[in-house]
Amino acid sequence: MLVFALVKILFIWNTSLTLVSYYEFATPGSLIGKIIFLPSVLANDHLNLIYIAFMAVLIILVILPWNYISGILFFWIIFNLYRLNIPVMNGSDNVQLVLAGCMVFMTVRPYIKHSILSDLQATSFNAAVILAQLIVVCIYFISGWDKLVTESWRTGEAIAMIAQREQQVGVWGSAIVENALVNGMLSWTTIIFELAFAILIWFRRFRFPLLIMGVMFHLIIAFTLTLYDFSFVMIASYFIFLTDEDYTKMIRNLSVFA
Amino acid sequence: MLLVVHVLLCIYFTVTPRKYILHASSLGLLYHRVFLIGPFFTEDRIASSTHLYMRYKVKGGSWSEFSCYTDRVHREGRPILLHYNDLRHDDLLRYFAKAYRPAKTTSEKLNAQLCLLNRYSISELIPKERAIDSLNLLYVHNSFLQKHAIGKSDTIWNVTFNPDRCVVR
Repeated sequence: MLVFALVKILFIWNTSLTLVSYYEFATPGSLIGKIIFLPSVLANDHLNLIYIAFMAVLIILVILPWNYISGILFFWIIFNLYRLNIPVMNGSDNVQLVLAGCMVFMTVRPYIKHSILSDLQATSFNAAVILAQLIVVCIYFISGWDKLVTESWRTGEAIAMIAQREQQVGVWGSAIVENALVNGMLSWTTIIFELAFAILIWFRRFRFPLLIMGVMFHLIIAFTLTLYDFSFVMIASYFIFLTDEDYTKMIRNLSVFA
Repeated sequence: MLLVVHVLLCIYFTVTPRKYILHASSLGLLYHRVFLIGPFFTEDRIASSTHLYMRYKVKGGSWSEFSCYTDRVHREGRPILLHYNDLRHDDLLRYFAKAYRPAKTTSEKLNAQLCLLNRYSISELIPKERAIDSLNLLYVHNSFLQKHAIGKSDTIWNVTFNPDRCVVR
């Protein structure tokens, strides 16, 4: 998620420069507001400096072990990035902001030795992980459900409509969806995948195949529908479904490969 | 226990229509904004779109052809970084166009919206060497009727003005 935020800043930099040249972010009246929105206010005149500072902090956060301060700083950056670019924000930014909020509690550093507080720390960690997983699962469930109850999605017409909207489909994307049978297949594949993800992701046996299918699904929509940031934030969110064991295996496999 | 209640609420807010109980409450708003992001690609959003068409008249010359930045962006196969940048600029242009309400041009704030749109069009979309006499902006809502396989266009607003003064004619 940190790497995604770094890339996002690089990609949105130019648009933000245009945006601040037309809009001025008003200084909030309250002291708390001034502290929370300080980067947004400073960005009115010093956007380049603010973005460089954001990137420097994010790089430090990537290197250092994750702790509560890291979580708060990350959320603060994402929140200001969101506020600063509100006119051009989309679903991916909502996902990123909410997951950044959960990430504040996804740590046990500094470790608290007091027994009750230690239990509370472990509980908040687990709750944050489960909440983030549920948020990702709900994105699929709500999207799958909406498609299932919509006639144009059930018949495949929705795919044709997407193709019709030139701003939604790239050149080679529109070439694929001219056939009604293909439309129907694409439509039902999407519905089944989204609903199945919400249920089967909780079963160990299906987790990896679903995540691999999800990566492929999002890569396809990234390049056919030009939804780059949404696709990549969803792929980044998949890391929340991996266990400590999975991470250990991945690191071991990567080191063998290296 | 909390987890079960949360999951049940997520299911309730997903599968029931918005007119049902709790949807309009603070709890409903919290769920729709934070815990239930989406749905994406809803029918109303894929069946319709808005476009801003623009043409300009050079001093002592004639009107240019109408051009649409959105169409241009989606037809051009640029590298991902440049394409992403174009897409966000397109979002910005649509945001400015959506915010403008020509029926209430007496309002200072809304006049400011037109001037913002004008400033953006002049500085970002029109070749810099051109001395513009008039600018014509046409904001259109396009919808696609699948049953008849036709597209339908409705003009939301159409405004011609002198960009130097930023006053609606």
